[in-house]
Amino acid sequence: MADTDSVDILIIGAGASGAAVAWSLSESQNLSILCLEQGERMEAAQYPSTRTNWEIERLNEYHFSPNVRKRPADYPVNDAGSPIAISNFNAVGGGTILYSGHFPRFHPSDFRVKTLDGVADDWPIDYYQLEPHFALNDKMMGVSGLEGDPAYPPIENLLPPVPLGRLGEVIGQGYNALGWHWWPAYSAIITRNYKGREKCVNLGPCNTGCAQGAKSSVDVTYWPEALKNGVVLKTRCRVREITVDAKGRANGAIYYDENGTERRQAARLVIVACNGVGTPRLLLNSRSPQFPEGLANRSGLVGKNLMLHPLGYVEGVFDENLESHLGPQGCCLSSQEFYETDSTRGFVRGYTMQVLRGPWPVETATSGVGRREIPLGPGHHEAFEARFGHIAGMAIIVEDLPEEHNCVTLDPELKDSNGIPAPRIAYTLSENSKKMLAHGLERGKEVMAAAGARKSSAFGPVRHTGWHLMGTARMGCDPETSVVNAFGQSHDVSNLFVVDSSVFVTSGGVNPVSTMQAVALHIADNIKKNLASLLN
Amino acid sequence: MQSETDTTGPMDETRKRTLISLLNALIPASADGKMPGAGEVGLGDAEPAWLDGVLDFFGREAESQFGHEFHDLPPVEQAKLVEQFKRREFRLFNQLVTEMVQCYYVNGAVRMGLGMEARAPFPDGYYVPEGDLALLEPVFERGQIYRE
Repeated sequence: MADTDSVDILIIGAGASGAAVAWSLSESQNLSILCLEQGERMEAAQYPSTRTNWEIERLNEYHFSPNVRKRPADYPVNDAGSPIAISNFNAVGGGTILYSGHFPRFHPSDFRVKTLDGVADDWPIDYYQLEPHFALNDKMMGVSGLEGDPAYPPIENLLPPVPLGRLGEVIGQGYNALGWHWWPAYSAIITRNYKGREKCVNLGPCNTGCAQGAKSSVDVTYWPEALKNGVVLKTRCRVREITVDAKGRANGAIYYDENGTERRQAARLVIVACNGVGTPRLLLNSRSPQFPEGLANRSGLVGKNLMLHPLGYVEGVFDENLESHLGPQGCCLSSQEFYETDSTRGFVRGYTMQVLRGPWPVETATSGVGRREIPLGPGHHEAFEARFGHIAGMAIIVEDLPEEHNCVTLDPELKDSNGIPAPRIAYTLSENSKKMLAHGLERGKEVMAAAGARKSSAFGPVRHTGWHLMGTARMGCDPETSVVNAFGQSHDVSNLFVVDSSVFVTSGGVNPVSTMQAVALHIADNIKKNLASLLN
Repeated sequence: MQSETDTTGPMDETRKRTLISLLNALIPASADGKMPGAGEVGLGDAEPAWLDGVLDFFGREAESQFGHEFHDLPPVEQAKLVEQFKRREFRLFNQLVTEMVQCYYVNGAVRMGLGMEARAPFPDGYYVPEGDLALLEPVFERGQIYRE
């Protein structure tokens, strides 16, 4: 095994939170910081939107599921035990390469679920402690939206919202007819030229990588700044395990470099940013005499309390040609009407209704034929034209409560290309989630009807929607019931930190990236304040 | 064992005609001439091995049931055979339809027939109207809906 020079800080994972932490730590300290990323640097010129057959590439090399993509950087995930398949992406930028950029924050109540609603637990931090980090993250990333949203405390300094299009106007009118909340989407998409990047030109398929560079993925936001500050980023380096010394302090990691050679990287402080499945996988695989059940796992909770966001899909078909396929695919408008708990509904917590742009031709035809809405043979073209551009989609994003039986473990048989055990997912929807999902699907159809849809349909949970991976190294004050403290620091290993959404105590009912990055910046601040003691 | 991505040798003229007719039966040309039939678009240059099973069926059944090659049959009889194929070989039928739809709807002539430009989204993108944000007034007027 080859050794490499020791560094002060080793960050594992170059995705949304790893990038934020790398930049923050590099800003004001004279530290040697190394990030190991198992994926590669993406080239925008290769993204599918540069080709006419991008809809087909999205089904293969740019599919959400690593089990379908099978890129060199992918590792298999055994998610047969879950109705929701896991989505991730390993590259510089991580999941932000494929995310749609929908970027709402958690709400204040999301941090106080136990106090307010008597379920789950409260976070050891709250919205207002994170507020300066939310603001900084918005500035670093470039976020568009509209001030004045009554569903949030004031959010400022947003770029103008992404265009609603006729789709957004029609759906907005539907919400108005019902007297329900709706607001233009918070989007990690720049609508004006910003910090050297050119503005969005509505390519459409944000979730196959943004060739324009307008979607705020961290490879074009945090990483350029971090690299300028001297952070070293090594790609195609897959970490197998984090190692500890005789006193149980983290002292580095063992990884496979781009040639497959096993190497040892020494470090004085280790930060894990591998997402809610990759992080517990790494920790569980990091066994030692001091940690026979996996690193930082004396609570037994590493991998447990996996929270996903069960997602339902509602579709409305309109007589009017809305040109609905145009615009950033996942960002138009969303509604928080049913976000806060109302016990009369029969469930606690709530959900977001996220309006989606309509499908492009291949998807319109494929789903239309599959659902017998578009016949083959005579009548095909007429039926197609009645749907293409006429469809509005809506995702119902349901808050998931933490349950220990929903978990990530190491698969006893399945391994990746380096022989590292794959993660195995055990997950079921709770009765609360099922009721919430059913409620959301019905409300979604109501919106479509109120907006004038001639027909609507709804179903869920949708399988390939496991993008939001949370809870598997949860944050808390009590080492018996949590893995890390309020600053992402392992209760068991003082120089080990987790900064991705594994630390989430609750899942909220919105996309987690904005909150995850704010938490990561909060953690980085604390590391900076306590460097002397942490490094020694 | 052949995989789904294995290809066969070049198709003879009869099988080519069968394939074109079959695809045209599934997605015919539009009456106004704007949209080509799927037979004119084809399935690309590759001839995957699974297509043999499709063409074998239509070649065999057209001859045995109607005494003619598939491409010589009138639409009604072609449609009957398509329905039989769908019922008997559902997986193959789905594979054919999926492949056909993907090839068809990325085709430049088809895109132009739909009123689109036959180009990749990047670099020009597309125009999307900003929308009327004054529609938000009633939402704004309603006031705070979040809990502290």
